[in-house]
Amino acid sequence: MDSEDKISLIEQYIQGELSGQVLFDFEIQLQLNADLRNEVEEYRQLLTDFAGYHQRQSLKDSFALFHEEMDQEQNLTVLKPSYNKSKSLLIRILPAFAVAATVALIAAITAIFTLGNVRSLEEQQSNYYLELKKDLIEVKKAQNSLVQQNQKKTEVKPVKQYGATAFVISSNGYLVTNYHVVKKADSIYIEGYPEAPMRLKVEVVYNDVLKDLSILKITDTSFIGFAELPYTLRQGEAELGEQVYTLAYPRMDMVYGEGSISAKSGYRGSLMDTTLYQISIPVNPGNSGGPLMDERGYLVGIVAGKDTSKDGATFAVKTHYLKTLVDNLANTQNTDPIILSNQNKIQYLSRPEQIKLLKKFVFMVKVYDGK
Amino acid sequence: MSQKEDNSEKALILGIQNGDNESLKKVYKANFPSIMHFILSNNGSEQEAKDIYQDAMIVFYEKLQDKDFRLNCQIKTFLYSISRRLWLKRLAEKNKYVSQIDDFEAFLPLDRFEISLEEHDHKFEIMRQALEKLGDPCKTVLKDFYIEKKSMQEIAQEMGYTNPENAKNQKYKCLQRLKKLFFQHYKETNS
Repeated sequence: MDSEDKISLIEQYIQGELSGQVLFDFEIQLQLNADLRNEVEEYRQLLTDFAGYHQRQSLKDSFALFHEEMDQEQNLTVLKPSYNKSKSLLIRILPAFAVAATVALIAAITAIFTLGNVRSLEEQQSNYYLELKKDLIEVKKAQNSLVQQNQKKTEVKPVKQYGATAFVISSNGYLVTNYHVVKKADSIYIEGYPEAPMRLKVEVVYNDVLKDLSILKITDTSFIGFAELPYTLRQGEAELGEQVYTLAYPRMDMVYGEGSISAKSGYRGSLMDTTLYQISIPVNPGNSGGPLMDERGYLVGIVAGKDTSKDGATFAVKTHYLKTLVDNLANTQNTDPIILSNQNKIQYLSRPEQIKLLKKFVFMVKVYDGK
Repeated sequence: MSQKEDNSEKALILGIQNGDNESLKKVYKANFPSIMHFILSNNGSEQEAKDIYQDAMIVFYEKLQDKDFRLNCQIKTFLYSISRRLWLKRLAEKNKYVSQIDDFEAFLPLDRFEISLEEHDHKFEIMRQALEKLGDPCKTVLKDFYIEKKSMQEIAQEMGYTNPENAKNQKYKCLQRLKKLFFQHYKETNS
């Protein structure tokens, strides 16, 4: 028996491919020949380790792929890489930009608008609010006269522009913001964070005037979809004293604010208020519509307004009402369903890491009112 | 664990045993965050978390290939326990003793499992070195035949041998050389 044949026999024996007389003969030889036994063992070990080594290599390759995929899922890929598309989009909204640049009072108008409308929701409430409203009207008059002065100087027809915040609740293009933000809208756009500038047209698909919530849907044709949402709605209410934080666009950059739940109702215990939390986060106009997150990264509310007569009394709509709203919408409309995420992928992360993932889903809302 | 979760875990395990890549991916992605959190909270970096986690996943995968192995806890608990042990060991190697370990999940004393990892690590490292010395075309011929399960006909065509018989002869020579290299290293490192 020359050695090549011998090895092929050993191999076949190890793989269990020998049978009948050949197997019988080979086993007898094994019993008689210690060298052969040794050689069989060596080949067995060699082939096992050879297979094991390759299995592990391919396993490691798979893991590397999974990991890369996981990292990518956490990065947004919203727009098709089509340069022309975004250019034409820019041209379309250029006039609005021009106006925005010349009218330098946007921030002030926004302040009155957002707060004013939070007020109007609460018109039937206590004297305290009536007083506050009066103050606001006075300020508004003053602001209007300023706008007129400015008009005379620049001779630009005013297109009002309001800014606030909205965040994604469903990867197929649904966002939530406050009703008061989009109430008077002609057209609405969302804009992304500075690192990935983008601007997409959205439309209101559902309003809840009482709860002050609106659902927006991205209608821009260049939009494909968001990455899978890393956060989810919290089941049950947040407790007094819990740490919470919010992300929003009170100016052209994202601003973080933190505080705690100071009350499980808004507006000092009057009747309609259990839909709101009072929170101790200092906010500015533009914070409206920002997500309110708890420490583990669950969504607990939507920032809606503040009490300007007091320090640190901000109000946020409880997520429970967002859930109800989404359920209602599912029953009334049969368009693209809103799919709320049910997985919290950020609960183990540190705050900065949470925010890094979260901020890709928080946008500035720009509302234009040209009437 | 609810009945539903229990069933989906069983389905995942069955999937992995049958070589289903999607099941493996699902398990991989679902369990990384908690391991990362554990390692980041205990003196480690994200890269170290990734390394440790992948080692734990290897133990998990190789255990599942073993017909006698029965997983009697949740996948999450198994991976956490293995990762935890591997990390404590790594810390000890780095002479970074931690007075207290912060834990975030339930874990079991699965001490004998990572031993198989190390044993294999040792053998596979020798295999890697042996294969490196062996070089091409031998490396490819052996891989094609034993791992990719290609026929001698295919191998002959790919590697440019005149006929299958020639390829078979090459394979035989390659295996002989690999065996020699492997056991040479093996004896060196074990003596």
